[in-house]
Amino acid sequence: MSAAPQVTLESSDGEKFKVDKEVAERSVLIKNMIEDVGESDNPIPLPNVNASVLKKVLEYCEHHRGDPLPAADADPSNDDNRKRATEISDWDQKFIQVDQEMLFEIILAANYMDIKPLLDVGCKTVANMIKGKTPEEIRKLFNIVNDFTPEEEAQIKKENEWAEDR
Amino acid sequence: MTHINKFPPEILSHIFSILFDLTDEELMPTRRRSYELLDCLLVCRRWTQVAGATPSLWTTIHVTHRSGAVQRARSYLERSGGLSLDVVVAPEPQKLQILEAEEALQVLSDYPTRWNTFSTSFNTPRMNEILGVTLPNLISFSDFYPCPQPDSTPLITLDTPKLESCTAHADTVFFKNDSWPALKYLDIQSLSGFETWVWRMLAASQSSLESLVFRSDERIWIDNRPFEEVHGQGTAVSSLTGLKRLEVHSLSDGWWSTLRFAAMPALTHLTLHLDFFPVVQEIRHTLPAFHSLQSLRVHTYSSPNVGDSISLFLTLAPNLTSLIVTDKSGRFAEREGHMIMPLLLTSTASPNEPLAGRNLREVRLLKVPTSVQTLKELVDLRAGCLKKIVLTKGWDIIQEPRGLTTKQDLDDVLLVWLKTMVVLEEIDGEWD
Repeated sequence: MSAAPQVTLESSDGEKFKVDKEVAERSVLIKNMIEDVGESDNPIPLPNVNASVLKKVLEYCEHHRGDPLPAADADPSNDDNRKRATEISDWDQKFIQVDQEMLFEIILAANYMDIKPLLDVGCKTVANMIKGKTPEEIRKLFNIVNDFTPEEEAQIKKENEWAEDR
Repeated sequence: MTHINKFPPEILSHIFSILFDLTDEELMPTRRRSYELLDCLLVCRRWTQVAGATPSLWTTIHVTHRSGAVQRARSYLERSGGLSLDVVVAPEPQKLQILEAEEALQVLSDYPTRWNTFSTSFNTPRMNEILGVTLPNLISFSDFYPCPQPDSTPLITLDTPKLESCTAHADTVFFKNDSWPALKYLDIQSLSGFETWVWRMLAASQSSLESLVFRSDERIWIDNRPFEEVHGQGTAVSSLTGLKRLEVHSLSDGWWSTLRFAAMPALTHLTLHLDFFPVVQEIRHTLPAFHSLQSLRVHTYSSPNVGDSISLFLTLAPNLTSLIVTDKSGRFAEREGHMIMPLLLTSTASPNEPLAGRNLREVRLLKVPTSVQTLKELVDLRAGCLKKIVLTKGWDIIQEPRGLTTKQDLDDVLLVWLKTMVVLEEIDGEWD
């Protein structure tokens, strides 16, 4: 029995990761690169992902290596896709229990590497963090500066005051 | 440090969309969504810009008593791009600024193909005229009128050929189309049985309907007369071939005619919320067999007729696996047996008759007075089949074993007994 084909990925800080091709191809970006340039011994550079984040992303890909791939043309603004599943599996929940910095880095990496299921897990986690919080609580949670003038804030409230009948 | 505002707009937009989807399963989801939207809009300028450019956040349009309904409707129409719309009218009708609300509805009615769902708790005087267009893609209609319904509520007429779900009062809405090929869920309130649109709707969706709820809040119910009238109009309902769930709420003892108005060969779940049961001899030879029925849920007051009726169902539904009985009589009903004894009737009947409810795997007795002896018989007769008994608060042990003095002693003994006599996957209970 021959060994599974492997590829080498190189993080932004120069660390190399040798992984099964099947695992790496959970990333549509890498899958396309392999298809475009053909199989090669040269490492595939990922200049936007550092080693610690890439390690975490590959852990996710390894766990989900056999899962069916999402449809390439799935448009998140499409009506059908609006009713997407909002639950996160137990393993994914545990996987994504990281600090905020790492969570955001994973989301950015999933977006760059085009790993839609991982992007969804990250975004669902952030959405759950936002859910039910007031604007001030959200700002505090994510260290966001309130850059509205009092007039702008009043205008937004006026335009949407119907929603304030809580 | 990576900051959330380093996310490109499409990621932030994706998070907002998911945030809205998260509210789908909660109470009043459209309203909850509007709160989430406002909270996101008020975080910072960037979030306002990204949210404003995310069409899926602007698809639920509330037409409320607040001023600005027209401007809001136009704004949402534009921001939601070409997506389908969920239109919600007036959760607080007493304050509704009717004219402005109607103008907003008029604006929305210019885009009839975009209406996806429509729910209303108030019919404005001109609503019928405004909604006089066909809503070709509407899949769900719900009315949530206050109870009691004001007599002055105007009737609205809808033309909705793709309707999949309808929750409506029978006397405040009228559907003028004759074809509902996609209708799966129908929940009708204030039903008297004389509403021809209901029978036309049922007749036209006989193969698609999966769930049907009849709610009658008066002591009138379907009888032979409206059936004949409806049959005379060529809208007879003969067989609901795909119907899996039927729920009947009625104050009348004529409800049972609902169970024979059409064949329901695929019915698996039957729920009866009833105040009265007829004398069983009156219905014994008129009800069909329910060979597919798996679950029977009865919510009623204890009376001898109830027991006889449950017993009858157990013989008509030989494949029943789950029986849930709730006694609404509360603690005033001291008599044990009306609800539970029918389960045991055939134990004393002819040996040739099969045991009623012989395939029961689950029995839930909710506030049903039951003696220890009765429970023992119930379990003994179905040893090897019955796997789950649930007893909830209000359940009383009537026949106390000797030598035990406290309620806790009795509970402990019974639990030990049930666990040793039969192999139960679960026994759950609450006691005072």
